[in-house]
Amino acid sequence: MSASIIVLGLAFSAPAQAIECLTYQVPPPGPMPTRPDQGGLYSFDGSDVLDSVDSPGGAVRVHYSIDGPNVTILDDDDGSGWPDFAEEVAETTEAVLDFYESAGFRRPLGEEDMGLTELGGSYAFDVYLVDFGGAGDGMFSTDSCTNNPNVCSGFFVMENDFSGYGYSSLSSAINVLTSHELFHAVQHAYEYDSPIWYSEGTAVWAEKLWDEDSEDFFWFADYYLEEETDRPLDNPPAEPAPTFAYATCIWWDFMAIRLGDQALVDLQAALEWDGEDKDTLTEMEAVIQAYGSSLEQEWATFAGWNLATKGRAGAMESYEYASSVGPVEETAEGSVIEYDNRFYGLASYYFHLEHPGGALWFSHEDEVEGLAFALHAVDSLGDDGAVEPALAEWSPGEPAWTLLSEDLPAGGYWLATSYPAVADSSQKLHFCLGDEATAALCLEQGAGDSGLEDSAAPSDTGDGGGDGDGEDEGGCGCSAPSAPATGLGLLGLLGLLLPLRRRGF
Amino acid sequence: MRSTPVFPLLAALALVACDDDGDKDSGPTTPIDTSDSTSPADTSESGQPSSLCPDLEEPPCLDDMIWDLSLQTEVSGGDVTTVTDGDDFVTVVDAQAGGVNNASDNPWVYVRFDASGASRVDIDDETSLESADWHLAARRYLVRLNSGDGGPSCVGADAVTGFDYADIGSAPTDASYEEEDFYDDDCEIIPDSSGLGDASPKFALDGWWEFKKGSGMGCVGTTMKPFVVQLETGEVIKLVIETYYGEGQEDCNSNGTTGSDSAMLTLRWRIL
Repeated sequence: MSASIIVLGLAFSAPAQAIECLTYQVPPPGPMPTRPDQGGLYSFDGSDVLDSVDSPGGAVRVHYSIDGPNVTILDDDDGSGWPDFAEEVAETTEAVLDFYESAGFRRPLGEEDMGLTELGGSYAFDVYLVDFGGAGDGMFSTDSCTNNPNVCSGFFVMENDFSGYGYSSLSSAINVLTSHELFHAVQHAYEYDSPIWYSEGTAVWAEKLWDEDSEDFFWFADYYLEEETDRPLDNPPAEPAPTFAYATCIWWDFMAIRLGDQALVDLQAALEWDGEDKDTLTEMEAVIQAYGSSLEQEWATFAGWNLATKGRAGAMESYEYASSVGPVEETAEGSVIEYDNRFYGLASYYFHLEHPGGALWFSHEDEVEGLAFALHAVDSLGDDGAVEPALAEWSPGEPAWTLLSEDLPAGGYWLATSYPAVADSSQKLHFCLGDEATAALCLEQGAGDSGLEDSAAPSDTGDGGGDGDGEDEGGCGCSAPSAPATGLGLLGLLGLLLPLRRRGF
Repeated sequence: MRSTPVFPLLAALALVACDDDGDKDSGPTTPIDTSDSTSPADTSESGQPSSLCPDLEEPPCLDDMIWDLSLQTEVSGGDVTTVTDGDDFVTVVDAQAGGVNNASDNPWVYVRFDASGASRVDIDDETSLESADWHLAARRYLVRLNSGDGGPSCVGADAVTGFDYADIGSAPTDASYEEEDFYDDDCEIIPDSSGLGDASPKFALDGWWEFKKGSGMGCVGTTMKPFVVQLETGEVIKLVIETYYGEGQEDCNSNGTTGSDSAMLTLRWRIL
């Protein structure tokens, strides 16, 4: 390790740069932003006395203050001569650098790659420990960028002592911050202008890739499930650093679980400029297809996995950590459901039905296409609790009545719905779920087919339901073939799953 | 940037405590009780004396707008109070929306200007997309007009460059009243020049604020840039947003010190 001490005389400002960094909008190539020992929004003070420590392999240099407003934690229990905290940051950052590379990602670009001088006193990747004062706790910033390819080198700044922050330990904070900010550095070796819902969501996912117990990942996963399943994946609110953008991490983790981590590596590579700008959703869909699946299948399955979380986990396939995240918020509930609203692409909606027993009808008055509906029974037919694999899955089409079951046992059920597609616009749907009288609220009943034998019935997934014994309850009047327990492949049938009974429109 | 999720400019847009120096030479004088108005006089669509755009037009990027602007189905309880100050009206709009970290879960507050002052229009965000009753809506530092990409009516604005608010005595004859146009043809947000990207769309009243950097995190400075705004009735008002902070705006504007009571917008305006 090596160290140097610098007493700084600083000039402040550069708000535009700072603001752009805040929202992760990387500026186009231009004048080189300042390092924290030169000024800027998160920077050392002129009265700070600076020191630095290098990682064991020399790939990382951590800069910190030993006296002044940004002084870091100076404990040196190992007697090495450098603060343990700064040493741990250096060691962890280097380990994460190697880890991402071993996972298949590119190594971040450095000053040497961009033809710059040694901005941190060496060509090592630089990390600065600065007091954020509670306003965030880390930030990746760029030194230099190029257009075509759209790549940048940079450094990151992280909180100097985490005093007042809610991390369970300093080590946890270090793991979260180093893995998150370094992943931004990795992203910038491919493309600097990715949308925030991708760049931040995958950076939180990468935290979990590095540390499978990442508390940060699980906090954001909870947020997505509890608050925002109805928001389209690519539509975070227009505000600085929207929480939703980070919370998309659970979708990226779902993709990694289903398709493998390499799919995320491939997606990152696919976003690289190769003569034309890339659309993230288009590339995401292409990667999913390259792995033998489809966005429709995956998103609808994602909607089902998300339903089977927290107290609803355990009776159908979902995340290994399903019981510790969520649950999803219900869009509506009742002994019957009438819902009239818009369905947005790559968003999901959940309806909790307390069925009194008997026939269960589904009717809708709008012509829609591409929506995925799945009816799940609650384990042991309780009001709420673990949800079973889908009893039936279907995709509403023309306005119609559909008899989902002639005699469905009383108990709790969930209707998981989504619009599993990249959609130019939303689709309005007014639907009713319940007895015959309820179905009539959405669409006047006519003399259509009774059609229980109709081959276009909703699919019985063959995964059981109701009492969970895997046998037909005798209620779900469906004749579609069984499907794998994962639900994969089921949605491919959706084009065939037309309603049983139609109004004469 | 990792979210904690409080961020510098975000914090600047929220900001806390500072000195309580007032920012106006002379305070408003005569209060007008319009804060609880639920249905401003002659504001129903059928009650409009006349309209430049009797046929309302659905904003073209409705789906994106609902999510980008986090439109809600609840009605804002943010107060809108108006007093007179000489020949001007001074309207304070509580656009706090539950604070900076909760704003996207709370509705915008809707305002209508008329000869008796400005008042709150009690509609939810999604209803606003089908209503000509309101002229201006605000949430935190976001201020949009009811036209184009922002709403179904035809309220337009033009910045009056080179003049102070007080210098504007009549509607400029060459004014070009621009309707809201903050989406491109692909319904992607057109950002303003603040550097916030999609977090700050280029609204028609673009430029009423600027980031002020000081010794702390900086603050939302008011530029005092005046606008003329043509309402759907054809009336034209002159308007300037004087403060973002309930207290401390002057310090923010002069030295970048953050104010308190953020998102309490003070609008000075007059029908021309």
